[in-house]
Amino acid sequence: MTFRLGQFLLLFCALTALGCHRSNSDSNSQLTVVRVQTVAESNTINDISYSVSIVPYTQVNMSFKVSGYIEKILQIQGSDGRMRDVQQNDKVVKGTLLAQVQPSEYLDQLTEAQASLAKANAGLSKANDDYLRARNLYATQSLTQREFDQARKEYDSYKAEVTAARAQADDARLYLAYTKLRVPWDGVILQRNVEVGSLVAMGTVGFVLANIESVKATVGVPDTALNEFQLGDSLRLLTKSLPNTPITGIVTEIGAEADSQTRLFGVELTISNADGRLKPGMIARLNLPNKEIKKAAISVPLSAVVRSQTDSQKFAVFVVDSANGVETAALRDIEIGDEIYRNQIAVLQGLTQGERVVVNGAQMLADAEPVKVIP
Amino acid sequence: MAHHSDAEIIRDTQNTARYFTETHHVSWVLLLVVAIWGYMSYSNIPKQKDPTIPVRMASVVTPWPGATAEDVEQLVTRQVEQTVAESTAIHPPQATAFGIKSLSLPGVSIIKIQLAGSIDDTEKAFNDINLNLNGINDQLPQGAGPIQFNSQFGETAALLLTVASPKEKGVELTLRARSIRKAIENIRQYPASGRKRMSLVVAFPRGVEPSVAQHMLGALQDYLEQSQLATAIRQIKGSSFIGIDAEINVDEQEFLSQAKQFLSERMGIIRIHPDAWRPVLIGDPVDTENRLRGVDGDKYSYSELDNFTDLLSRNLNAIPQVSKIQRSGVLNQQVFLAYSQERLAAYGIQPSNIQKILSLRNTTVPGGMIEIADIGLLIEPTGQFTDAAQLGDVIISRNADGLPLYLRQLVDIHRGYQSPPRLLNYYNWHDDSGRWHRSRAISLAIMMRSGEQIGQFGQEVDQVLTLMKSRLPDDLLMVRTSDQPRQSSENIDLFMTALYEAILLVVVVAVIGFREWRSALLLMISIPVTLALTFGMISLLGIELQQISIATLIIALGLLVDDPVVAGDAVKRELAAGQPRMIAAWLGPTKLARVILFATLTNIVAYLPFLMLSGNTGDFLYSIPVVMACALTASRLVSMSFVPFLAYYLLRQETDKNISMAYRRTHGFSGWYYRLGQRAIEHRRLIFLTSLLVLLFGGFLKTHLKNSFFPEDVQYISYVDVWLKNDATISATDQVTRELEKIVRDVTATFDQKHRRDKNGDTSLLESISTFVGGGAPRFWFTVTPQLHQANYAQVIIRLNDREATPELAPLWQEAMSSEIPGAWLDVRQLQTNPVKYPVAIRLSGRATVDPSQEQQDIRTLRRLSRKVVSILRSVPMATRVRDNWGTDSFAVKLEIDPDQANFAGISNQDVALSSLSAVSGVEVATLREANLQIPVVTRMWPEQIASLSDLNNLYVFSAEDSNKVPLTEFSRVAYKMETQRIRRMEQFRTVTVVAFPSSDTIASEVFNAAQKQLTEFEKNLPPGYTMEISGEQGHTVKGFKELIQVMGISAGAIFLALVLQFKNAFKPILVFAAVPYGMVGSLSALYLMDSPFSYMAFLGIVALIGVIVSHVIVLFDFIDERQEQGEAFEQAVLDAGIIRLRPVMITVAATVLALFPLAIHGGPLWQPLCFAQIGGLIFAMVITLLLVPVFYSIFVLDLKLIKWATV
Repeated sequence: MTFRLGQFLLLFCALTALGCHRSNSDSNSQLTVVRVQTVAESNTINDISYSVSIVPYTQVNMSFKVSGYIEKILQIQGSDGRMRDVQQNDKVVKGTLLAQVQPSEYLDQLTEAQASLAKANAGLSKANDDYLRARNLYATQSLTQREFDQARKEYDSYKAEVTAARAQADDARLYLAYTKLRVPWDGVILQRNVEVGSLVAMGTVGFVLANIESVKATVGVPDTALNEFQLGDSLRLLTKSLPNTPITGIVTEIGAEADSQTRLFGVELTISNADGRLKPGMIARLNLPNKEIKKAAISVPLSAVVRSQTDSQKFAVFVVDSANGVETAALRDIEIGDEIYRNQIAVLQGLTQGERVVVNGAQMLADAEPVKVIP
Repeated sequence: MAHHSDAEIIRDTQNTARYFTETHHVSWVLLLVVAIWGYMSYSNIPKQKDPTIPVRMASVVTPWPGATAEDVEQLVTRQVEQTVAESTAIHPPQATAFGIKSLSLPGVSIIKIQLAGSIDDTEKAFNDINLNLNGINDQLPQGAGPIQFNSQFGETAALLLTVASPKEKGVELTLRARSIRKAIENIRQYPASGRKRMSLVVAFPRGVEPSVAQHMLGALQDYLEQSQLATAIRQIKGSSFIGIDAEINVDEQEFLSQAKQFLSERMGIIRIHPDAWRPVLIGDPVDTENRLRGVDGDKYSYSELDNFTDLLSRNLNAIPQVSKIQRSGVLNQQVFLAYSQERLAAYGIQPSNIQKILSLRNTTVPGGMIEIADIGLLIEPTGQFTDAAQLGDVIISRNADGLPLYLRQLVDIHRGYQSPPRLLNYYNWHDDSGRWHRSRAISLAIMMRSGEQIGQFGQEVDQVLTLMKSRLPDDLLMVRTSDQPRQSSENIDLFMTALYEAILLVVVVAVIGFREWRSALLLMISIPVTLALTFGMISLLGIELQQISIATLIIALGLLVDDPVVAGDAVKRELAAGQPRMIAAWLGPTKLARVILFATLTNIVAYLPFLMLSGNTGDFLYSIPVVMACALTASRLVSMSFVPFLAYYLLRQETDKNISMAYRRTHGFSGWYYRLGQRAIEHRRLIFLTSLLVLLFGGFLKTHLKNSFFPEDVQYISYVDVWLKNDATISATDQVTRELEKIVRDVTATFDQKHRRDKNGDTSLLESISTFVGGGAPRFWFTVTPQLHQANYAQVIIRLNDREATPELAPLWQEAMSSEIPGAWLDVRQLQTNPVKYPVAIRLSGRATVDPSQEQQDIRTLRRLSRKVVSILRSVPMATRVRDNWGTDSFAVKLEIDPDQANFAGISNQDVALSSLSAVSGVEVATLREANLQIPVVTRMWPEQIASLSDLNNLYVFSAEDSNKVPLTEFSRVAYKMETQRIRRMEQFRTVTVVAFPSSDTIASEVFNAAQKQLTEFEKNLPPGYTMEISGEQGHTVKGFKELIQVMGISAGAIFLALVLQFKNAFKPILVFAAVPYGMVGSLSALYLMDSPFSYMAFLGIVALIGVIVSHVIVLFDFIDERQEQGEAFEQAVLDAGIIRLRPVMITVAATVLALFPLAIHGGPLWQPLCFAQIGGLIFAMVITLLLVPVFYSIFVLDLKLIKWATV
């Protein structure tokens, strides 16, 4: 209750006592409180990230050279202990028989060719005999030149027939061998397209085999960022599928030409994958350190930046100085860089290490205003 | 003035006084009728704290997501403003009010409209405006709109009910702790490296499935592993909690702060999930319960609170007195489909594909009806999503083998709430042990239908709440943050107490003054009768019972006393003159009827011009002249009817006290007066000159009084406005309010300890704190205009148990906040009786820009000017918290797209916008129908992929034409600039308002006086086309005082005219008025002595004083005239009249002055200045009337000879 009864009763007798008791409250206006941050050089690394997809280092489509029904497919012991057909993701070693086309047709052909060879051989030996005989007779002038030539021709012709028949037999043997699809080098089956009994034609891709001893990752890079990559750079990749394993890739190829659609250059990284953790088709993320500000730079939080008062296109920060125990915030023009790291922006000019900038409360300040700095 | 002889009067007069005296039965019955009517009226008049001031405001909100403030201003705000301005009902521009004001923010345009005070049919006016606005919806730029018009913006909630979640405690907490402990122990059975392990556990309210936070926790886990903060991490999960168990390589504090930093910087959130409790770090599982208790987790989730309040509001709506219920703080549920752009890209799917696929699946096409025999069967194709799990089963595509790709394999599906939330509501309360808690809450603003009784409304609400208590969980907190029914009844009680006390004091004065019980009894009866009649009349006129009307009755009390006193005196004189009781009872009043009628009229005329006051002030004070006129009329009626009738029964001839004039001239107080009067007339010139000095002194006093408008109201509630910088997020604002709440609690507790220890110290002074983050509370007080949703704004409502403490605490809070919280403008505000937004406000408008290309220039000029004004005000030591209301520029990011590059890549600007929108804010792709809820399904990128600005560089843009995806960096670069994010306009021109607050112990006018010179100088040098206006309290004061001076002029003129008619002389009225300035000096001295500012109400008291002074002088003059007619000499006549008037005047003045004391004591800072002004003025005027007026009269008669004195 501020009503002062006693004072009121004094109303008239106190009329003379005017103009003396008024306290001119000198209000020491409160200082604006701010939080500051000491400017320090920091190694700001600005990640640029690209998404990449893992592909095998080499990959081959294994096709059949011969047509026919598949008779047999490589049997592998499955995880349940039983034997099963070879399937994707199975590792195979060089020389293993993957599949077999029914060979009977090709066996027949071989037999046939072998028969013709025998027949031709028989003919040849007879022609040889004839020829030898004719040569002796001819030497004794008992045979005419014509008859001798005849015998020699016959011999030659049989000789040719034998060569032909031998070639045919070789062919037939080869085709027979072609019915067996073997692994050309150690790798992993990526795909199997055939089953026992399926009819394959010449050129049918039966299996896809890949070498994933090492894998490749291809990055689509815009021209502006192309110079970030150097052949031989080793870069770190992250993938969600293997969250806790660092993966390192080495730049092995940089595209010479941009994709006509997306205008991106392909950059190829080779990653060694001896343990086979990386599977083709996995998605990874390449975080590329931005080299431009890799160098140590001074940066301030975005919340510290205000508009410059000298040039409205420019930026400024409040720098707190302490003199005689009074902290004063002064506006300082700065030049900012293009790069933002998290929520810090690089300052190119205007600040030096160790200075304190206002990071909280900058919008309430005027130039050269005394402030109270709180932790 | 010719006075008729008694015989003539007795023969000729037929009036009410005679009728009432002569026909007793009629009088008795009528007396009874009046008493009953008065009582009935009194009990039926609507009672409320303050007079109803209609707030004729509406708001127009037009969203335009993604647009800059400048674009919003130019393309949306301007159009809407122009359309609104077509209405003729808009309030005309004024320095202290507005018709149209707008705020353009990035992404939204907010316009507030106020109708002119003269518009009665506000509904029609608003409907017209709404129709016009609907017409321009299709003229808005693409993506903007629709225009949302809210004509109920001005409604004040009669009750603000906050429903808050209690904290989990007791057995429930123990059980929870046990299951967490078990889970931790289980997981630690498998030893790792043998190093010490810690568990970070996030608990949820019971109803929430903790998997909602799985993804966030996963992200946190990745981060912890990468940064080597923790190793060997394992997840733990149980019903209503989730967490990780790991070897932690740093200390606890560091770990928690790192985790927090990760969430805020990398994920852009403060909590793992809005429903989640604060995370706890548990080392030893035995500790679990204690740690959990420290977290103080909410028992109910947001969606449960939503359900509770929904039921509550539907039940409350069934109350007939309730017109509308508005809920704030509800978080809308959403289902998120969080995608990783790399993953989508690898599958060759664009974010926009998801929408197409979902819309095909989520069909609402009805399946038709089939009629089988006599039954109609409705075929309902299942289609609508009713469960979030169904979303996951949607097949997005097939691979070559025909294997389906399900949505759940592609994206992370989890339930959550709209993010970021638009408005958060918290409630701070203390439990029985005095510990404070902060709970999530939802507030219900309950509006009352107009014309209903607030008391009854309160009872009905009480009933419903009691009923609901049994249906809702019984530990749910339901509290009244603002309670008008209680406030009204308390205030009415207080003012009625003041009225009763005043009546009592008046009676005491009468008994002492008359020194005789009969006259006192007459007075004692006539006052209630007069009041009964007055209540009857004001209820007919539709005036409510509120502080203004009751206070008017108290002020009127003195005047009401005058009539019966004079009438009773007259009856006694007639009795003394030997008239029989029957005659004397009416003859006395009748003889004085004319002059008292004039005196009453003078008083009514003195008050009536108050009807001319405009605006809110006029609405607020409307009941003063009306109630005053009613009371005075009633008093006149009573003194001409019931007083004579009662006088007949009560008054007797007082033989011994009928002392002759000659005796009174020489003896006692009257003798002293007579001698003093004689001497004064003798030295009249000296006295006249001295009196001029007194006037000069008054002028001197006036210059030393501080001017102010309306004082702050003393209430239980006060509030804090919190403004962060324009681009602040809602979580940053929330953080500041947390700090602020703590300061309020601490400061109040310290204050409580210091000042109130002696009183029963068990109840805490601070009752509760309700916080609204991201927007204002619904209008809980008619002068507190709610802020529409803005992330950088918060309102904190503080409620105390003792309202007298509010004005004492407010400066303490302010000081503590200003010195401890950086980066925010914090204004502690007390409630006001009259709407003034800021104590100091200076408006700067730019009205010069012709060419649209100069808009930028205009903004810059305004900014420059406002900076100048800010620095002027900052140089004033009394001013604190000086700033402009645009705020500083904000750092803005611009995506500069290289058109050539984009074209090559086959990307359009729209693709860029869509891709970034979908990544940053999310895009609604479907709706999930769950019971009565329509839950939006939103696709957005994994928060950790887009949490910081540098992530923008990594964004892929999907082409709409082909399936290209191109990194954003390929064809665009991110550029930075400073941008204005808040453009305010008034009456269609850009306007910056510089505001400031006076430091404690000073008031706005002092700040202005100090800055006056510089401001005038500044205004002179304004560039052409720019204007400066003083708004705020100073503007209101200037405008209000100007109006009051007009009112004073008019009432003085009207009184003068009435007097000229009465006296048929132009000089006597001047004499009558001569007393007025002296009365004013008395008022000013009283104000000065009480150190009270010269406020609007003080001025009003002074204006009202004129009537009282004049009416006293009129009656005195009438007696002088009567004496003159009886042939007395001049000096004798003047002083005799004085002697006759001595007692009535002194009794009246004493009664009036004493009646004002209860009002001064109970009425608070609003009424004190008025009371002081009237008390000082009346006492001074009494002396003037009795001493100075005779002196002036003699100067006029003897020296100036302006009035002729001819004895008959």
